[in-house]
Amino acid sequence: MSRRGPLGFALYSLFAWSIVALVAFPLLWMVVTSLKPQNELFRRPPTILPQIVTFEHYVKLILETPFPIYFRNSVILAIGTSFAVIVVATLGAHSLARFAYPGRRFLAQLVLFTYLLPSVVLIIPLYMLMVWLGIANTLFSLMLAYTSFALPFALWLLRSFMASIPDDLEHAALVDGASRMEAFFDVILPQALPGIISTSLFTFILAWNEYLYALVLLNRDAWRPLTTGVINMLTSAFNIEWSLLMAASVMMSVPLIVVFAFLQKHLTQGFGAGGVKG
Amino acid sequence: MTSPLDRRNHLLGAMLIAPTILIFCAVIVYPLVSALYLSLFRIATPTLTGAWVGFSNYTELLGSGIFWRGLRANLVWTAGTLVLQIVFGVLAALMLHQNMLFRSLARALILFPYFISTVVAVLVWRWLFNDLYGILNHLLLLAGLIDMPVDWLGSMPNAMISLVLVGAWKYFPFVVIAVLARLQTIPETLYEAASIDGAGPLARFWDVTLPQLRSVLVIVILLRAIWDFKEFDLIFLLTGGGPIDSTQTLPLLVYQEAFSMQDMGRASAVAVLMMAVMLVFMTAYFRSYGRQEES
Amino acid sequence: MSHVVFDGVRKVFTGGAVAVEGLDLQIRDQEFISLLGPSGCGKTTTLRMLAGLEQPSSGRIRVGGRDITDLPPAKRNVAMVFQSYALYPHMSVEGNIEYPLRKRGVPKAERGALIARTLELLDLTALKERKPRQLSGGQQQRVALGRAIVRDPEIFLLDEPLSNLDAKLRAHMRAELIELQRRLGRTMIYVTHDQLEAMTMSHRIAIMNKGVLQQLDTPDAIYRRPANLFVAGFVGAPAMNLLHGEIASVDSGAGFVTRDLAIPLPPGHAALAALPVTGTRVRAGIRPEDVRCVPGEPNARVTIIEPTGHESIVFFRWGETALVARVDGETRLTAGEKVRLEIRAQNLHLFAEDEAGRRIGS
Repeated sequence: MSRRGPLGFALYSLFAWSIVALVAFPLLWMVVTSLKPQNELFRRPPTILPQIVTFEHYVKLILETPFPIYFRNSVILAIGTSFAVIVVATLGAHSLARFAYPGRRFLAQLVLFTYLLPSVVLIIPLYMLMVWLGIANTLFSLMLAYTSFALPFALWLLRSFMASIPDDLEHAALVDGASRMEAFFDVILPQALPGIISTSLFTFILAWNEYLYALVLLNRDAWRPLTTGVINMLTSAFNIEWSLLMAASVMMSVPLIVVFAFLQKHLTQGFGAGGVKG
Repeated sequence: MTSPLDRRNHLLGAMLIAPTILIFCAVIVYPLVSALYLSLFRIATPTLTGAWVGFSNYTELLGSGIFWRGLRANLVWTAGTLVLQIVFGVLAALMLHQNMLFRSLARALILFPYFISTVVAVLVWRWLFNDLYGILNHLLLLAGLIDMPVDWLGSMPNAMISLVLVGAWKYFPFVVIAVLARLQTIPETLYEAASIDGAGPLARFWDVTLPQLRSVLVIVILLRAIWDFKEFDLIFLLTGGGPIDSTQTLPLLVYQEAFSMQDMGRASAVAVLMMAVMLVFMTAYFRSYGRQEES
Repeated sequence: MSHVVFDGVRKVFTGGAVAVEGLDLQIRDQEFISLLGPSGCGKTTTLRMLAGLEQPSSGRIRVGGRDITDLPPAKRNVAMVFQSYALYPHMSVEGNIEYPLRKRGVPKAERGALIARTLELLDLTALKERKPRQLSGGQQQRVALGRAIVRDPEIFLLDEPLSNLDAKLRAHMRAELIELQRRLGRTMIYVTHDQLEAMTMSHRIAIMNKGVLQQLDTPDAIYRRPANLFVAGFVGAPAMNLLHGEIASVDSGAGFVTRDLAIPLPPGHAALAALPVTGTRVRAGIRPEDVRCVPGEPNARVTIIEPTGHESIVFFRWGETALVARVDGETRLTAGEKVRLEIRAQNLHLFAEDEAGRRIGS
């Protein structure tokens, strides 16, 4: 990278930031729209920045729409899925990383292969399976489906984390008197914590944003998560209330910003270190 | 010869991976096999009862225009958005790799479209695309680039173009993440050597950066192509397959067959055909990549 | 009673690599024994089999008469110090030392006293709250030791514990470990590739090469009567001079001759009782300290001199033969100088000229 003087640095920053502004514009527009009063919204020509800033749409969203219920459902779904994935994937990753049994390598590859399947292939039989199991139209059926989608990535991420923990640590615990499972809980898990956190955050995002399966597997409005719930608000209303929808979009994205802030530092690390490498 | 202790360890290892395997078989393997089986029936969605029809679902689909139009729409969408995702992704990664003011914040903002829900992305863009009140039309009119509001989603080829653009916006950060991570591992000394040899910035990109990125890009292109090809949410919510069925890609066709035409059997057949197409492309890709590696 | 018996122990890794070949080894109670050998000789594998971290492919292992081959590590009464120390990074020094007590079910009330005593013994009391990453290499090593000691196990296993320390600290820790073992009075099995460590610390040394036990003996016996060519060349620094030659008549007695040298074997020489016939090709070993400069007609030329302070390591050329000798600091030599060398024949070692290279004589 060529060394630039302070002028070059300033010019480049200006150029780069204008690109960033272009990409971020839709999201900024979303926030701006949510803060404009209703009448200003439909003014021709449209105003860029709100002349009056108001939170009335947010208030209306929380008090007069099913939005809080959808929000609650999404929280339960995302946290529940993350928890389930962590439990299943940590045990599985430990098995893949530290045990040798016939068929292990094949399993590891098979798991990753299923990540490439089109979800649309599975919705129909899955729907029928849930009906047969008697859990159709429940959050639990979604949680089950999401857990299975998140598993391949979670296993892959956790396995590489766990494999990088030195073998000696587990061996020292074994010689100190721990059984293999005790060694897992006492020594391996604390060391794998960064990987566990990254995995749970990724799973949270996946469960929070998913649409198709929520659409097909859950039809009861009381249990809808945010994704299908908000779209439902859009399509069932007589008039499309854009300010409400923008406010809903902002509020749907807030938890993600929080999660994203945590993930930021882990992101490029994870990819550069063990993942997409030549 | 395995000792009793080794055998016990093997058993424990198998038990630990058992829940994963169980969930997998139930939620992925079983439905996958079912889809193949169901495609041989005609199944009424509301009642879930059906009749055996053998391969007639397939023959009807392949003979009708609806499948091929869907495939065409799918290929146009995938190719269009993939190219833009890769190009924008690489350019953005190069841009973010340089030193600039508030670089972390800039990077966070560039990555954000990938992490919001498709629902949010669609709502935002539909508001932007709105013909009367959307800011996009207003700005273009103001700039004098158009003299009438554009119908972004209601006519062709606008709808497909809009789709491709929104898809690029939503998914290019994935490419940015992967490429940026790789860029950060390229040793500075390679560039210095090239500079000394007299290479300008463009030559340095072509001769140093690009070869280093090759391995990452091969994987990223494959992953994005697969995920773009099977994309449902974005297209369904933005255009619904419209106008009429001009943006109805295969995943949307599956959904339509299942829930509008109410035939789960035919829907499964479309899904199976879709997987077959993907398999063909994937094998072709791997074979050409393998050949390139050898040369 | 914690004597250890390896009975026909063999370890083959998946893929066919033989790490340990038919090991019959008996370790005495309260003994400090080193497993010495180059990388890949099987010493660490042997140690790990005793710990329970590896399973023998065949053969049995007994401790105090009890067959422990099928027991998991937790059920064996051994403690291990790893080359990397393997301290638990998320626990404090105190936590690390407490861990084995927790796992072995020592009641909470008793733990405190045991931990305190161990910390005191290793001079770690001031550091007990610290995490491993806040400690120096030497301190980490003491914590690893403490974790092993606190349980008072029957047997201590140490896997090259000093290799990550600098030379000065290593010398200091060698002395500490010897004193510790004598004080604790427990069997200690010490894996190392450093022959100086093995020679200075052990009651006995088990030398291994390519998975096979070469010699099991006291340090003195190994030095003075190496059992084969490998042991002869491995122990002793600088390494023993090894020459090709044959048995012949020298000065009306039996002797060893090469193209350049003819060394008569003095009466009472250890090899005489089992001497092969004249003309047999053999190998001879001469330790550098048994090559001396004497006044007289020169027969060798100095090639390289390496002064080490109180003495010099000098390389000579006797005809076509290269020799290394230890020369005391008083003697001044220069490169190229011609001198007379004499070999102390009673310390000449003879070995068979075959792959085993076994020692001739006792």
